[in-house]
This record gives sequence, C-alpha cells and structure tokens, in this order.
Amino acid sequence: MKKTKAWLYLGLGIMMLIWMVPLLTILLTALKSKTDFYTQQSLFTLPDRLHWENFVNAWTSGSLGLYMKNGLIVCCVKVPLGLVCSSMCAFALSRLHIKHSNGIFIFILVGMMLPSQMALIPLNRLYSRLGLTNTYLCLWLTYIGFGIPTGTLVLRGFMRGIPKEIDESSYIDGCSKWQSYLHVILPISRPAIATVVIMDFLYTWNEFVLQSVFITKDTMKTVPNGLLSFIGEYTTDYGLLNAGVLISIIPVLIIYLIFQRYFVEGMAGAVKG
Amino acid sequence: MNQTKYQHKSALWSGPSSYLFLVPALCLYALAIVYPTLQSIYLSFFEWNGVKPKVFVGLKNFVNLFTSDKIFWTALTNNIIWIVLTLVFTVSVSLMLALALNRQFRGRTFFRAVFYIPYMFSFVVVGIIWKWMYNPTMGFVNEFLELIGLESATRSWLSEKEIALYCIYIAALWQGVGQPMVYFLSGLSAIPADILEAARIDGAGKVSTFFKITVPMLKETFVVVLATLIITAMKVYDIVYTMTGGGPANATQTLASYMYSQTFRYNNLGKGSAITTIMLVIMLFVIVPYVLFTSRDATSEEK
Amino acid sequence: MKKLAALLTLIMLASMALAGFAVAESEEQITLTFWTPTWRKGAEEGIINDFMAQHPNIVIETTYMSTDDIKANCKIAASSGTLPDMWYNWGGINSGYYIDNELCYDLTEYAEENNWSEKYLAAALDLCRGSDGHIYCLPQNLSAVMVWYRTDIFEECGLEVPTTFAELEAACDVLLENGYVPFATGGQTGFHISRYMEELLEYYCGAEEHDALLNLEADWSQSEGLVKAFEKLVEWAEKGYFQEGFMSEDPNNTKPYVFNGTCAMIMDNPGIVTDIVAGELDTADYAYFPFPSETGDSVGRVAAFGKMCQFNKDITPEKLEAAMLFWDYYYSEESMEIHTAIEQPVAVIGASIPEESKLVEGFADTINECGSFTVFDNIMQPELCDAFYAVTDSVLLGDLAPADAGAEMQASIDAYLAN
Repeated sequence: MKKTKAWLYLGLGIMMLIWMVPLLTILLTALKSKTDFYTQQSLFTLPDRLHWENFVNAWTSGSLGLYMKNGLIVCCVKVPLGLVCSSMCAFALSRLHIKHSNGIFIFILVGMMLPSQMALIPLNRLYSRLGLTNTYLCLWLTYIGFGIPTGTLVLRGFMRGIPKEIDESSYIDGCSKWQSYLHVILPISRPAIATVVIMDFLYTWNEFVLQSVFITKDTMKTVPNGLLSFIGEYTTDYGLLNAGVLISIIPVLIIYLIFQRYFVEGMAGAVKG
Repeated sequence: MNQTKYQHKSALWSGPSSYLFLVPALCLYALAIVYPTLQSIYLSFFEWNGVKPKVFVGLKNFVNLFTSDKIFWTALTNNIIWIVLTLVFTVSVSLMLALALNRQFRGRTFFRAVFYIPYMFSFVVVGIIWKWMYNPTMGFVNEFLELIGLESATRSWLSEKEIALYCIYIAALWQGVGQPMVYFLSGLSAIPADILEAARIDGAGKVSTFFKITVPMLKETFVVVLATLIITAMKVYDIVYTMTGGGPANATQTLASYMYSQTFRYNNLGKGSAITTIMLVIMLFVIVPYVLFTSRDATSEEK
Repeated sequence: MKKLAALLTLIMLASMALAGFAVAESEEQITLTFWTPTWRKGAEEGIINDFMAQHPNIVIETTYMSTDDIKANCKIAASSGTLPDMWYNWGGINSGYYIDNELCYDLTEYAEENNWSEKYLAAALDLCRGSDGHIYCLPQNLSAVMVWYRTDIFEECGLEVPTTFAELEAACDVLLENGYVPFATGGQTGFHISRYMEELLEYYCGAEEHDALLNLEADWSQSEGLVKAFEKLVEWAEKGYFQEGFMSEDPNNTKPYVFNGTCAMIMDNPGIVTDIVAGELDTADYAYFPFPSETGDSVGRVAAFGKMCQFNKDITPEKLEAAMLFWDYYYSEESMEIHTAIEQPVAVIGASIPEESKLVEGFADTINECGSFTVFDNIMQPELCDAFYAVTDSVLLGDLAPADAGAEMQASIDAYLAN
C-alpha cells in the first residue's frame, strides 16, 4: 500500500511540474515591467526587481474592480436561475414519463453546436428591437439559454445514475413530483450540481463574444473587457495582462474551492440502496 | 419496444404536469439557440453581405464549399484530427488524473486545483501564454530542449505546417483536462465504495475491477464527457486564432475559424452560415447514434 | 442545502436590484455614442472628460474595443441597425464598407462650409473620400509604414542610412556579420510580412504596375516583378534577414526583438513611438527612413493609410453639431498640449508635436516627398489579403515556387471576382 502511494505521488508530482510551467510563466511575466519584457532575452530571465505594482496598476488601469462587480452581478443571477432551469429539465428527462424524451434531449444537445458568433446578428436585432441592449436582462436570458445544453447534459447523466428504488420509496411515502424533485433528487445530485455551478460561473465570467455586442456601455461590461485593454493595436502589455489575468481568476478559484468539496463528499451517505 | 415499455413503467409519476418541468429550459433555449440556429440555416441559402438585400442562391454556398474550397476541406480535416486527439489524449489523461485524485491522500485538493486552474483561463489567454512557450528564441520548449542536450530537436514549432496543429492541441490539452477530470471525479464519487470493496474481497485485480466495475458505472459520465469534448473540438476557434491565426498557409484553419472569417471578415454571411449548418449536421450524425446507443444500453441493463 | 439555496436567492435578488439602478438614466442632454479602439483610451478618456466638463449638455458614451472587435462589432451593428453615432475606422476597404452600403453620413457639404481643406492635410482628406469623390469621414491620422531602425546598432556597425535598395541589402549583410538580425517581422495573420512584400513589389514592379496589381487591373500571373519580389523574399528569409521563427510570430510580439537588440530594423508605423516611450527606452536609439524601393526617378513610395471617424447616416443635425464641437476640441492646440498621448501624426495641418513624440517629426513631409501607395490590407479585400498571405506562406515554406505564386494568386482573384 505504501509503495503504491509513493508511485502515486511521483506520477502526480511529475504531471504537476509540467502543468505548473505555463502557470509560472504567467506569474513571472506578471512581475515584469514593460521595459523588462521588451528587453529580455528569455521568458525566464528574472527582472532586476519584482514589479508587484503591476497588480495595482492592472487593477486600476483595467478598471478590474468595476468589471468584476459587473461580472458578479451577471453570474449571481445567471448561475442559480440556469441551474433551476436545467435541473428541472434534467429531472423530467431522466425520471418522469415524457414522450420522446430522447428526442428532446438530442434536440437540446445539438444546440451546443451553435458557435456563439452565429447568434450575434439575429439576437442583436431582436434585442435592439425590444430595447434590451445595454441591459443585463438580455445577458441573463442569453447566457441561461446557452448554458442549458451542458447543464442538462451533466445533470441528466447524473440523475440517470440514481437508482430507481429511490423513486419507489418516495412515491410510496406520498411525494409529489415536485417534492421528489426538490427534496429527494436535487439533494442527491449535489456532486453534479457543484460541477454545473463551477462550470457555469466560469463560462459566464469569461464570456466575451456575446457581451461585447449586447453591452456597449463601458461601465456595464465584464472582466474580459478589462483584460483586453492591455492589448494594443500592435503591442501587448504582457506584465499588466498577466497580472490582470491572475487577479481575475480569484473569484473563480473561490467558487471552485467552495463547491469542489461537494463532489469530494460524494453521495455515499445520500444513497442507500 | 421492450425498453420503452420499461421506461414507462419505471416513471412512477405521470400526467401532463411533467411537461411543466421542461418549460423554462425550453423557452430560454428556444430564444438563445433555436432562433439563431434557424436563422443561420435559413441564411445559408442566401448570398448576403449583412446590409444589402439578400439574394436567394439555393445550394450554391454548400456546393462552393464542397467542390471548390480547399480551405474548407483543410478545416474539416483539422477538426476531425482534433476530435481524434481529444478522444484519445484528453479523455485518457483526465480519466487517469481523476482516478488518482479520487483516492484519499494528503494534498489532493491542491493537486485537483492545479489541474483545474488552467481551465479557468479563457482560450485567448491560454493562446497567448503558449505562444510564448513555443517562441523559438525566448520560449520554454526550446530552452528546455537545449538544457537537456536535445538542441537538434529545437525548431520554430508553430511555423511548420505539419506540426503546428499538434502544438496547438498540446496547449488545449493543458487547458482542457480540468473539466473532464471534474466530470469523472463527480462520476467516481457516485460509485458506492462497498461495490468496489466487494469486488476486492472477491479477489478481483485492480485492472479487472477498473474495466468490469468502474468503467460501466461511469457510463453516464462518459456520455457527458464525450459529448462535451466532441462538441468543443468541433467548435475549436479562439486558441487557434490566437496561436497561429489559421496559418501557416491555412494549415491550422478549423471550421469555426473559417466560419468567422467568412462572416465577419469577408462579409459572406451566407457562406458563414452554410459552414455552421454543416457543423450542425455533422454533429447530428455523431451525437445522435451515440446518445441513442447509450440510452438503450443503460435501460436494458437496469432490467 | 436549504441555507445555501436561501443565500443564493438573496444574492440573486440583490444583483437584480443593483443592475436595475445601472439602467436608470436622464434624458435631457444630447447623448453621442462613440466606438473607438481600446489602445486610444489613454488619450481619449481625458479628452472626453475635459470636453464633457466644458459642455455639460453633451454626453459622450464611449465604448472601447480591441482592433478585431471594433471591426466585427461595427459590421454586426450595421447588420442590425444599431451603429453608434460615430465610430473609429481605418481607411480603404474598412471605411469603404460603410460608404458603399450607405451607412455613413455624407460630410461633403459640411466640409466645404467649414473649410476642411485648410484644416486637414490634403492626403489625409483624400483617404476620406468615397469612389464618388464625396467626403464620408473625418480624418484623424495620416500614417505610413517606414523602416524604424536602431541608430546605436547602425553606428556600432558603421552604417549610414541606406538610400538605395542595393545599399539596404549591403547594410543587412553588415548587420548579419556583426551578429544582428536585420529585420523583425511576424507572419501570423500575414499582414506584417506583406509590409516587406509590398515594398519589394514596389521595387521590382515599379509604381505603375504595382498600382495596377493592387487595383486588380493587371494579371498577377503575368507579372515578372512579382516573381522577382517573391524570389527576393525567399532569399532574405534564407539568408537570415528575419529573426528565427518569424513565420508564426504574432505581429504584436515583433517589436521586442528590436527593443532588445536582436533585430536592427522593423517595418512599422509611428505607433512604435508610443511603445518606445511607454517602455522607457532611450528615444535617441531610434529613427526612421523610408524603405528605399526606388524606381527610375522616384525615391520609392511608401505604404500609407488613414485613420478616420465615420458618422451614422441617421445622425440628427444637433448631434452632428455636438460631435463636430467634440472633434474641434479633440484636435485643438489646447487639447493636444494637455493630452500628449494622442496618436501621432495627426491629420491636422500645422499641428505641433509633443515632446514625447518628437521621433515622429517630419513624418508627414516624408510621406509627401516620397509619394505613397495604399497599404496592402487597406486596398485589397480581406479575402484576397488572406489568399495573398497564404501564397506568401507557401512560398516561404518552399511548397510553392516564386514563379507559380502569381498564378496561384490570380486564381484566387478570379474566384473572388466570379462570385
């Protein structure tokens, strides 16, 4: 047993080193001034002095505070509502009697194929006619819509794995569909829900294509917009860009750390059967 | 047939209110995805520059793409290569990581985070970082090869037509293992420990436990992982655009990058839509049989 | 679980309330919407704030976007009828799309009434005209691609500024002997290599044939100059005139090669000065000269391009008036003294150049002396640009002989014209 563990650590250690190299590159670059970066001979040349002030400058010149607040506003509505929609849909497709449930599922799945760029023109037309451009409502609606295929896919997959005996016992206990959804299936699906929350948050946080068209007010844009300000017409300020990137993933990292324990915990305790 | 019958019986609750569960999702889905998709399909039969009146051209856009467009074929081939690479490497690496990280040991949260963090960056950021990794004079890859005495292996990675696509894929692999890893972890956590325990007591080896118990129990997870990965592979765009811009000599064009050029650079909205339509049709051919196959399998097994 | 759900609901409602506040807005003012590239934010944010402070009844709502995004988003907006009141654009085919599709305001009358010909450089104003001769844009910059070089490296190698093509090549060889790479370039997306190619075309084809090729009036497959130009490009690449791995380099990453002394020269527009200043590099180490693509009696034309502002065709007279007040302030002496980060050289006649941008001095005069042709990606349709870039790549990779390059390009042109 000891031996396997040693091998495990060794293998993971090597993998981790490989995975860390690009991450270190980002960190190192984030600590370089423009001059350091322009005049370096190698990416791993250490600068004379570590420019921690890049983080402060990135925060102010990229207006990251404002954009992160906006990003949170968008995420905090999109993620829970999206979860409600796709979990209800997944519940129906996996545990209720729905005609053509496979057909409906495929219909939803195929939509994942639509490149978001193709949605720009029709949706922009629609939203401008409805006066919805430059409101978060249009972002919420669109993002939830775009999140439904993956959300449904993941949750349906998980819910199909829950033994049918669970339904039987709750049916005998006199649960209605809604009760079974809310009090039985959703709590069991915690690992999958955690996955969807992390994934949705991440997608919404980084989404750029749709918001850059539907939101033209600078004060309403989200994080990727702040990062783009470090890319010039013919040059990029890599120090600030990398510092900004590192700042911008902090909320995602927090969400990840909060929710990842749900799939660690698993459903060993929840499912007895 | 048999299996549908079983499904009917297994769904204890019935009645039209079941369909209410689908309503919110389907409404928003119709708005954000079905409506633009139908528009796209409709536009693919037209010639349109985005502003002037549309001209109906029938199947001309499709015929042009298939008969006289070399770039389209390169892009299609590249997408197929990308799908195969994803199915082989992304799936196996992420499954391996998930298996290792599903065990109890100190520091596993940290390890899980390290492999997931790359996924938190947008594709554009990943492209920018890896562009520097491959930089022939300042980049890590060549410097590392020189360090271990393999100077002959150094090259300008992204300039060579034959290898550029694979180099981009490695960047995508670095970024992309985190997500399927999380799917697998979530799937693995759903396997009751006592089943594995029972197998061990029965004297089953590790390998046979893996193939006889773990893999079948992960069937639903595999559907999720494969479907998302295939679709992501089909849509791959940003990372290619940032790292090579489709070059050298169009060697790394993908369907999505070509769709983007046609639509937003060349003002051929019809042709861009035609490419999207083709992507949708290909997807139907790949995903539908797979989903039907796995659905049937699962129900009959439960029986 | 229940607590978590309650918490989430609370956060959600709070976010919705917050978002609600952001939408509220007063109506009594003239509001101008303006789309402009992010990299101009440094100067424009200050200009706009100052202007709005001086004119409390005018609000300018600015959206900053990256180069690719402003191009794409304007097209999307054009297609859905949501173009802003004014937007930044590049000349040639870029502004041409909005002119040809009748999406931008015809400024001819306004320009005549307000004596634009005395205010703006004639060359810049010409770039704002449509094919009907009308003026459709407000000129902002007159720019051109020239050779920017490291004076210290040239001095170290005992080199003078080359005035003929032969001298340029000789200088490159000296640089190579001294361990310097002559040119920095980046082949990703293709436009940067085409800056060398178009000068080679100018040199080997001569002005007349070069123009005919760019205007698609001459047959590319029959051009001997084109073959020579491609042969020269390959020769340069083989001799190491460009830095290692240049073919896949991002054009945004090429300048550091000059800044860190790997390369001695780069084909660039005056935008490089902003980077020299921002990187706190010694401005004394940099200077420019026109690429010596001399033919006959001409010293060799340079590749020029304009940057301009276009106005929505539906703009109201009040809004247009407000907009023009803004642009008058933008390029007024007062504003240019305060906002030294304004992109140089500007298209205004007699504008003084701030201390930080002294390197740009004499740029407009040099363009005038040399004469100019339109930079490749502003005259060729994007499809043909991409086709040309792919042909250039194939020639450099050795997949296509220089002699066959013209035929390959002509095939793309024929296919484009047939559609």
